[in-house]
Amino acid sequence: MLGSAALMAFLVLRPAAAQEWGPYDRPYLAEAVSLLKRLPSTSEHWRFVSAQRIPLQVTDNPAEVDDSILGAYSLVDRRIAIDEVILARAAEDLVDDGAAPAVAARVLAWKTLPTIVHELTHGRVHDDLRRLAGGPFALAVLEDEQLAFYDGCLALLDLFAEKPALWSKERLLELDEPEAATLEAWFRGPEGIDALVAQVYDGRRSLLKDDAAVFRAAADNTIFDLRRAAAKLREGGGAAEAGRRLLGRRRHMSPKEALAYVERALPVFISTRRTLDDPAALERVRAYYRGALAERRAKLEARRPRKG
Amino acid sequence: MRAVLALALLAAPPAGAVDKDPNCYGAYSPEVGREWEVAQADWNAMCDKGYSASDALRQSQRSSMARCTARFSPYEGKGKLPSGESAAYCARGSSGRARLAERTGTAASKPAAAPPKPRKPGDARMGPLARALDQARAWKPDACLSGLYYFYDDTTFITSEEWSRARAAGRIPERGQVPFEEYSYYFDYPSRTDREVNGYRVSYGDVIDVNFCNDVKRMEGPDQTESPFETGFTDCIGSVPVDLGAAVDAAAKGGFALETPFKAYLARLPTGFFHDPCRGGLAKKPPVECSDLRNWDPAQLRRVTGRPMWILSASGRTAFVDALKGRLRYVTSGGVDFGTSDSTTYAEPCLEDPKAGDKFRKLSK
Repeated sequence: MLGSAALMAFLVLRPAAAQEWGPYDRPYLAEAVSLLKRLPSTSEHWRFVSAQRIPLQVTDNPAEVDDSILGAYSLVDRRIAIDEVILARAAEDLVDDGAAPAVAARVLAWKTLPTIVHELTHGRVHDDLRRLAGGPFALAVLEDEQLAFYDGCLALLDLFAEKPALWSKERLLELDEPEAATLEAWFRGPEGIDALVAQVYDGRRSLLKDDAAVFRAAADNTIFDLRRAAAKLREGGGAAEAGRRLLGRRRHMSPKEALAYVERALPVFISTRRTLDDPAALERVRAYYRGALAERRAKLEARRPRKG
Repeated sequence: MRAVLALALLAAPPAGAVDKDPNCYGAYSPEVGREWEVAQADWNAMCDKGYSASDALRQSQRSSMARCTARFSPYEGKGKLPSGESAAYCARGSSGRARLAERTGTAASKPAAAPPKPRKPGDARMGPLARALDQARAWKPDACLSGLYYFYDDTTFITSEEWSRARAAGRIPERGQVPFEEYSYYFDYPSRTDREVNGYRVSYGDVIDVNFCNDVKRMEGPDQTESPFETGFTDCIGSVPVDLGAAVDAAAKGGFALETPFKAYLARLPTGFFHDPCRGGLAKKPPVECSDLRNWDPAQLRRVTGRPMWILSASGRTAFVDALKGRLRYVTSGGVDFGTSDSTTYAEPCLEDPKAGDKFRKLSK
């Protein structure tokens, strides 16, 4: 079992959870931590979480997760948010079908662990790149999602090997859809997951294939937008006026919170921009992605059932 | 970030709002309604336009007195009433009208329209979804339901039928309570590209003829048209197990009063649907008044977005009923209006010929 100190580092103190999720919160997080700790494919993720004290929070705050996003990792704040609304709906479905609340919470931990691993992978990659680049490096690149999908798939294969019945047709939940798609893509062959990622993140650029100028322009735009947002917020316009394009889901924050977020985010993107101007540092980043992708692909291929 | 679905959101935003007197709405009572022949919907319409309670009362009195005088002043010329008496009695409200009716022998004329049988919203002829879907699939083979708008009212007005009858009988037409119901299904199609901006609407229900007197026509067949997407109806929701009647029952059990006019929407809304139009430059009326929205709990709104939901609106309150589970999720103050329906404007009163021009008071709901 997880030590109580470590568990408390992982569980974030949160305002009164919405009544419908409250009873599930602690058993859900405890089961998720337990799985992370013991599954073969997630030991590195567990080390990262416990060493870096990355908080995992189930939240209904639309500034953290909105619409149909089950999970999100904040590169700026280094924490993971899991959507309470989606979890609460799934818990309600399970209880309606006769599951005890404690069982429903544990089932949800199993079902959503690949997403937690997916988000933790973003965190691990970000930390590795920070060391290689000499500062924060935060770009939305295709390779980031490929790595996150690979790790999520590896975790799913571990979970599936232990309890395949949880993913039997009659036990599938709405939130299983992404994992079902990932598994199906993996079964199609080595390129299957890459094709899925390209489809889900249509238009996202590849750091390994695209020219660095594209990313310099993207980083410049982000910095410009953040500065505009900060200016509007300082003028007293509020997160509302800073708008959807400038702040994304952070527009749901209070003006004070939004400004603080923008002020934390700006140095991250300025550092990213600096790395893009440094050919040696950029090459180290690219080499990292090449190596990490090759390593994960080899792991995934090793899990493929042998023919005959 | 792991996105399961990418949802597009149309930024909307509002025109300049009218300063409303919050006391205006509450000043209406059935007694005032009877005294000055004003329906709650008409009173609320004045409040919506920024009338104070006393202005709304004065306007109701003026309108009632005008109708009353138009009805009884002809009897002054026929010797049944002394000159000027009709105006004097009309100013006394219902007791004055009763006295005048007695004096002129026109008392107890029955309303032309029989009182409507009470209907629960949605009971009447809801449900031809399959027929609407057939129509939509003739438009696009992969059409899918993306929303439903429903409206129910039982407002009081003079129908053209009653006007004709009254004219033939040489009497003053009576106002009657007439139920009115309309519903529109909205369709999207998954093969739509970003360049294609039109959805499809199939409408059923009643139509108010606005040419002269009010005339509710019971629509026989659907009225279908290709039209730009309505905000909020841009995401396929497929079929839902909870119909409007069940949603109404769930809301009523939770204490939500089903008063008329009553509106309902079925939609799967994105998170920022209600708040985004109140952020930044506003180009379109928001679905909820921004001042009301301040009282809405953002965390509760997260619970009613992202899945098919019945959104019921009546008496300045809104209820959200889960269309998959049939459970009441959230009730809050403030009405909802997606702006989906053409505003129905009709002429009142129909005591004069259309040539009378400005004697026709425009009412809009």
